[in-house]
Amino acid sequence: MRCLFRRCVTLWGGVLALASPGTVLAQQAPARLAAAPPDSARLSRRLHRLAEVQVRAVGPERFATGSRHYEADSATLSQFRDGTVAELLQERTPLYIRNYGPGQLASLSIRGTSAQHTAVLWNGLNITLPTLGQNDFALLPAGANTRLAVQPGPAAALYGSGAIGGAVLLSTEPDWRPGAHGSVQADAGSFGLRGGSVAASAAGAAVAVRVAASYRQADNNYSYTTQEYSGSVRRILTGAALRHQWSLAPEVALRLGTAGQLTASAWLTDTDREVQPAATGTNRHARQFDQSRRFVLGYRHQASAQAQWTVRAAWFEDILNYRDDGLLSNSRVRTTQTQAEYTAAVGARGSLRLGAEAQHFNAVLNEYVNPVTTENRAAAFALLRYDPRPALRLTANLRQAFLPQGNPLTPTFGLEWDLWTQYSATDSLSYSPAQSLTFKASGARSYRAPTLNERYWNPGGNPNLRPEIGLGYEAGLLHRLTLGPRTGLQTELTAYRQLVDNWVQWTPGPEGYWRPRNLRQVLTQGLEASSALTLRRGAHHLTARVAYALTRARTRRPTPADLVPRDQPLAYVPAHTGAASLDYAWRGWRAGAAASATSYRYTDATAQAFLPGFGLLGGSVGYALHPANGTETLLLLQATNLLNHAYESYEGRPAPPRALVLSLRVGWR
Amino acid sequence: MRFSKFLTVPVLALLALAACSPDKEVIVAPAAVTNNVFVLNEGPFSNGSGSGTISLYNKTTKTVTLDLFQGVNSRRLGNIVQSMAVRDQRGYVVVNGSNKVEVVSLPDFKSVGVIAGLTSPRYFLPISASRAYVTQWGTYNSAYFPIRAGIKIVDLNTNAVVDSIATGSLPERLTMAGGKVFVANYGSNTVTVIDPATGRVTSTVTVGDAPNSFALDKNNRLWVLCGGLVVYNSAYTAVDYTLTTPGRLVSLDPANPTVGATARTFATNRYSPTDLHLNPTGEQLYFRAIDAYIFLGGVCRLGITDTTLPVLTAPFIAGQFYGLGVDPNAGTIYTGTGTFSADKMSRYQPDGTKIDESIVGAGPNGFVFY
Repeated sequence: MRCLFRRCVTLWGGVLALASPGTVLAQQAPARLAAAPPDSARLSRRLHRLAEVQVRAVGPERFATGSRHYEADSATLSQFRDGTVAELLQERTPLYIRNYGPGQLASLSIRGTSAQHTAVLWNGLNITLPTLGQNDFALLPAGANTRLAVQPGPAAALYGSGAIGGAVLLSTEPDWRPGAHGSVQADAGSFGLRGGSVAASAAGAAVAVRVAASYRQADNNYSYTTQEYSGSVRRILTGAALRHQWSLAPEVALRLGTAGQLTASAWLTDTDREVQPAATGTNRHARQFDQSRRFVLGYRHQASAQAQWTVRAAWFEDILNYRDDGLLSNSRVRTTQTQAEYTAAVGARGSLRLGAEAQHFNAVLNEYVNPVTTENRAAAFALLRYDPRPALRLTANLRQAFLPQGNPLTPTFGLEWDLWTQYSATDSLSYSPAQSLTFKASGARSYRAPTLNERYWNPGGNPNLRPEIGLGYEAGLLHRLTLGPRTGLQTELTAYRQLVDNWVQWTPGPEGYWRPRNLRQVLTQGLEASSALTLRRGAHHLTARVAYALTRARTRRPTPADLVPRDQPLAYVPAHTGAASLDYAWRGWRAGAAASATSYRYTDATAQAFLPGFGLLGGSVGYALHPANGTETLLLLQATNLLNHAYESYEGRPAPPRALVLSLRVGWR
Repeated sequence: MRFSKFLTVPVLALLALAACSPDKEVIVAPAAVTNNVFVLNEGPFSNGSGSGTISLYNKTTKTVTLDLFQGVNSRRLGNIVQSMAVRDQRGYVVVNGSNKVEVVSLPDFKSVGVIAGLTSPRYFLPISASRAYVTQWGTYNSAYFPIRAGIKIVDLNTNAVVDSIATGSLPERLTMAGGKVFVANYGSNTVTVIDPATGRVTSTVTVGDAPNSFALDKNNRLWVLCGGLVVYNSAYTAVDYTLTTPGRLVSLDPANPTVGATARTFATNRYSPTDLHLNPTGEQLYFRAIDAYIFLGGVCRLGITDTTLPVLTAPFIAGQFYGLGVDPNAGTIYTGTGTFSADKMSRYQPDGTKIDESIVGAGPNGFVFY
């Protein structure tokens, strides 16, 4: 493992050598702090191993100093290989997911903001559905990606429109390890859950190929209890089946010469599901079919040890067809995007990225004014990272967006400062404790472009709608303690505050239709605390995480047309959310436990009705066989809602009771 | 073990935080009669998931209990609270989206029964101590046209549907006048007249396109308000005003509906008159003139002896109202907004001077004074 990591470090060639060790480590598990060799060692090794240097991307997080960052490790990703991004985030982070039910619409509320305030990027490109301006995380199978990270907080300069509450970053990375690797998994679970996945990759000297595919279906015919005149009545949920969901993500990467890499990636998803009716209402037999086709072609070129450039072109098609007993609505949006960026060293301590991107949307919806609606957006950005000292890391970023209805300019500033560092007296064989305390702070302006629905819906679309603008700050402390090889504790505490202006709300008006308007300001503020412990003693591997978020989102300065009074809490923003998880491995045995808690959420705009809080407990136990032929066979039993707690995540949508999933995975390397 | 603390303490703390809830609303069950206003809130506008509520407004203390039914009975009322009727200290709440009528005792609002076996019920009229009529729109065929519309007859002793009566299309409000039951067939241009003693239709009177509501004035004239036929464009994105007919106000003698009826047509088809109410003396009529696309509009007023109809484009109380009510004692006018998220009711003097406003539930469509 260590040698692999060394190689990984080595591969951070070129521009990346500019990154101080602290930077890399800020994003990594604490254990890596001790594992990282001294800077000089890395530099010298790099010189000797140029032939092996890959053209590795400089991630955007390099320009996100001072911001919080959550990254799902490979163990977590592999547990959710057949699940969705929604399930992973719900079980493993304190982020609040508004979830209508298993497989049903799941949207994210980061730091008290709405579903439209999370930018979702896949391989650096925004995949937010342009009509709705949001993503349904139940439509994103997690296994298609090799990397999943969340950066809460405003970061529009880095991620563009929608990054007001935060950004979810999905990406795939070619696997250049020589030879073929792969896995096959089959799942069966409660309430008709059936699924499976295949992932395979192979690499030669110049070509790396990877493909991940998954399938899932579920009846979701679980029982729930409602209160009626006759008392508690037990019913079986109907009309909530996930009829099928499949995902196919192939990727081919080619090395062109010693300095170029061409990558072609695709992600195809199809989801056909019934839309869960409200328990209090009638079943209108609603059904929704979502289909996304995403293709991206990227070329990355290492111009020198000091400079790298990347161009990307992407084509997406998103189809959303809805129908129920009285309504039929079909939509198709095609998005063409291009991106170019140039990253270069600035002196010995800085790096600068300059880039531009353009998006073209082509939407076909009967509900729009024109049968075919097009819109163009563009942006230019400059990202600067400067480390005056290894212990002080600064970023200053700027994005100028060009939108049909305004050109928001969104700067971001970030700072990380190692207030105190206690180095370990380290050689490669023995460790003594090392620890550091880092101060982090950032401030950002952010924006959300009005969605196509908000602009073109007929009737009511408002072409004069201004972009929503956020102005936010955060500050925090990060403490890292390294106790030994791959053993350490990382604790982080962050406070934030953000004011979102021009907040859009659909309201009826004197024009005779509902129309989106820039109605109000919303102030969000809160605290986030998290702690992660990684322990490795002999054959025992253990990772434990706890995270807690205190969130307060309230209206401010309503316009006269706004009926919501000042200082009202937003609906579906719980004040307290928390998550704790434990993953343990000993020889072939695997065990995991996850607990999450969500406090009460108001369900109406005037904070009168609320859904009570709920706590959930999940767990897993498994055994992995490692015969000598290099394969691994893992049998895993996972349980959710172990305490069988009856609750509603969304009003009128009873959540599932205790459920089990049995998985069998065979992997080879 | 130190490690166990690392996980168990935060988990317990999290669960404790998750368990806390805001202070429960203090439910002030209505005690005295004539002091209570039940505000009927259809419920939030969110894909049918929202639960309708009834807010209690106390005229003396001017306080609002936002969700009276849930507060008293610890369960949700249901989806789309359409209307409510009162008879013999019983309240009958028609819950359209949940296909039921909840029966509560008054004034304490305790649940005492439920009437099931209805399909898209709209309005409720007790016709005797033991019988009531419920209008219902029925189900829809594949082209989304209603079928099996009509009246269900309910036995108020057993709260069971015992019989039905066919009416015209989309039967809406119904009223008792001159010993007969009049049913507004909103989907046509007729009123169905029923003899409650026999349960038979005695006649069908043509009034005007889309009759929606009634008022019986002090001279026992029955006023029938017709909204006019609203035609939408094929994409249902706008009202086609070249085909939409203007509203009409009809007055007739309930004992002899076909003789001596008067009918006056409004000057414009741009607003649809709906939701007729009467002041306590039985001399003033109030209604809303709504935009037919969003069902919201201002309040218009008309004296029963006025020779000209009010101008719908210049309402008596301008606003975007979804609900209207007139206090049968004081004549105070109540309106409700229709954003279906953050809504409020406003009160006005009979002359239209605004008194005050209060936050109520989502989508207040009517007021019941008790």
